[in-house]
Amino acid sequence: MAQEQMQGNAAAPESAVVVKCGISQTKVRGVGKSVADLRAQCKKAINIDPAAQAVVDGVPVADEKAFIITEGMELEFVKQSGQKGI
Amino acid sequence: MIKDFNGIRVIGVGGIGTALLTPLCRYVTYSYKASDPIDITLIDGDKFEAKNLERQGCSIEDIEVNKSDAMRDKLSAEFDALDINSFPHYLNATNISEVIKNGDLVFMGVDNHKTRKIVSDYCATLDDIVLVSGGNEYHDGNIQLFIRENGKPITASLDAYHPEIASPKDKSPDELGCAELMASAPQLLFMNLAIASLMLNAMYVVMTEENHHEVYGEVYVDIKEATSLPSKRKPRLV
Repeated sequence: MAQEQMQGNAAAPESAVVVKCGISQTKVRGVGKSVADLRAQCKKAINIDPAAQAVVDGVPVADEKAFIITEGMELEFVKQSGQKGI
Repeated sequence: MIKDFNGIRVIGVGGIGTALLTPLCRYVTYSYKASDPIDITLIDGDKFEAKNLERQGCSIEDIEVNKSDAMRDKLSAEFDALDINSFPHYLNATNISEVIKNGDLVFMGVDNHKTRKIVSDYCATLDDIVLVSGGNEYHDGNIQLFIRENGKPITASLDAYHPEIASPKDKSPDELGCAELMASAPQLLFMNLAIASLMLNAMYVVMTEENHHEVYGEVYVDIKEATSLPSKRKPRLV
């Protein structure tokens, strides 16, 4: 389901982070949190596959626990590619 | 026109491939002013079957005819100014260099990640190439845009962020038996059409956008949600 919503404290948009997966995206209070924390927080809301590669501002994240999100970053969990087409 | 191509290749002449071919030929005939004559090659080792009539651009008389041959004949009759050819074989690591050359625009609408990996790896060896790949499930899917210019990647290869393509668990059509080839999952005509449309949109952006180095590398779409979302990622080696 496509989503565009604020989770957590909606009164603090300056600390909001966009988290995407496939067509779904959500905004969460994520500044200061690790990528691993945000994966767990958004897993159900935007249907993140456990194997999905995390990407911040177009660059892959190697260590999700160590990578801390800062202001203005965009986090994507890469959804699997569609298989069929013939 | 910003970008010019040596030739256009369409890998997979099925649900996505037949959906994009007619508008592609119409665009190339009437709107695309190439500096040199451009040829279009259709690539597929499969034959049309009766079950394809509900979703693919074939008719009764095409049944049991190779898909790339049948569509070459149909399209050549409608767009006689174009040089349309067929390569009636499944693409594999051995024959791919016969049909895909430096400077080509390649559309790919296949049904397995193994072939996507072969084509992406091969394109990664070329200096100038635009590869537009599409894939779908029943009502969602994605397209990927892999561009290399002057020997450098502009966008990521198909497998760079997709482990399911980097290490495909499926088989290419060459490796499948008849029973496995018959057992394909159901697809929706409108989903194939949506993917074909996004693939053509990507071609248009690459050809006409002066700043096409900033182009997206992937677009996700879900037709039930009426939503699509692009994604830009840095090129990377796997």
